[in-house]
Amino acid sequence: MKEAIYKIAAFLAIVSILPFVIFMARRESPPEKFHVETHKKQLIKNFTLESKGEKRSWVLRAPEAVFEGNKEIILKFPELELLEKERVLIHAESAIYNQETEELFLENVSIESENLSGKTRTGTYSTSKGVFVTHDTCEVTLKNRFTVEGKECILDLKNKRVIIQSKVKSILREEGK
Amino acid sequence: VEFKENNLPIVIEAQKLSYNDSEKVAIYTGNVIAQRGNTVMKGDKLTVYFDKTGKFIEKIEVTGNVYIEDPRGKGWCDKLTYYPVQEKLVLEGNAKLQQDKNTVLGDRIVAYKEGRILVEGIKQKVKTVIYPEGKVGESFRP
Repeated sequence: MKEAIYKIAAFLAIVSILPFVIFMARRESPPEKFHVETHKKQLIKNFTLESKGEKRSWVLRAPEAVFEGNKEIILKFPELELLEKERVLIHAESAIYNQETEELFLENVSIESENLSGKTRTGTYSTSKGVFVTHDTCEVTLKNRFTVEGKECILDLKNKRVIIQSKVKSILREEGK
Repeated sequence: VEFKENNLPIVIEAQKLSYNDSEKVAIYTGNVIAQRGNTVMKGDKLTVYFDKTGKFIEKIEVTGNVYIEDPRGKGWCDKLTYYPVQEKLVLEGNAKLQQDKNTVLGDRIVAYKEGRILVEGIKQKVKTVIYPEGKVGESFRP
C-alpha cells in the first residue's frame, strides 16, 4: 500500500514540474524575425542626375533633393533637360522621381523647346519612353502660332507629337496675315 | 462664302486632336467645329496641313457629315477642302450649295475667291434650281 502511495506521489511531483520545464524550454527559442522599414532621409544640395548609357539623353537638376527610402527622390524647383534631336526644358515647382519606374511626377509644370511651349498643373514624364502625360487641362503653343488647349494631353517629345484626348479648343493664326 | 477677313484666326473645337510636328499635320476628330469670322465648317474629322515651315496653312480638309455655312449660304458634301492662300473652296461628293431657296447640286463644286462657281457633274448631272424672285445675280464669293 505504502509503495503505491509513494508511486502516486512521485508521479504528481513530476507532473507538477513539467509546465515549468516546458515554459523554460520555450522561452529560450530566439524571438521571431520581422522586417522593420527604416527610412533613410538624405538632403542633397545642387542635385544632378543624368541618364545612363553612352549617349546622355537627359539631365535632372534641382537646388534641393531629398532621398526618400531607396526609390524616391523629392525635388524642389527641378529642371529636366532633354537632349534628344531637339533640346527641351521641363520646369516645375516640385517633383518626385521614382528611380524604379524611371518616372518623374511634376507639379505646376512648364515645357519649353524651340518649337513648342506648354503648361499644366500636374503631369508625369517617363524618362525611358520620352513621353509626358497629364490628366489635367493643358495648354500648348506651337511656334507656328497654333495654340491648343484641352484635357488628357500626351506630349511625345521624342517624336514631336501632341495628342489631346478631350475638350480640344485651338486657335490657328497665320504668320504675317 | 465669306473668307475675305482671312487675317482672322481659325478657331477649331473637337473631342480629340493629334498633331505631328514632323509632318506638320493636325488631325481633329469628334464633332469638329471650325470657325473663321462668319464662316463655320462642321464635320466628323478635320485635317490641317501646314507648309514646311509650319507657319502657313496649305489646306484644310473636312470629311464626314460635312456642313459649311456663312451669312449668304449653306453647303453640304462628302469632303470639303479649303485653300486659304487662294481662298478657294472645293466641295466633293454629293455637293450641294444653297442660297436662300436657290440650289445647285453636282459631284464637285468649286467656289473661287472672286465669287465664281464651277459645278461639275461626274457621276450625276449638274442640277440648278433657281426661284425667279431670288436674286439671280448674287453668287458666292469665298
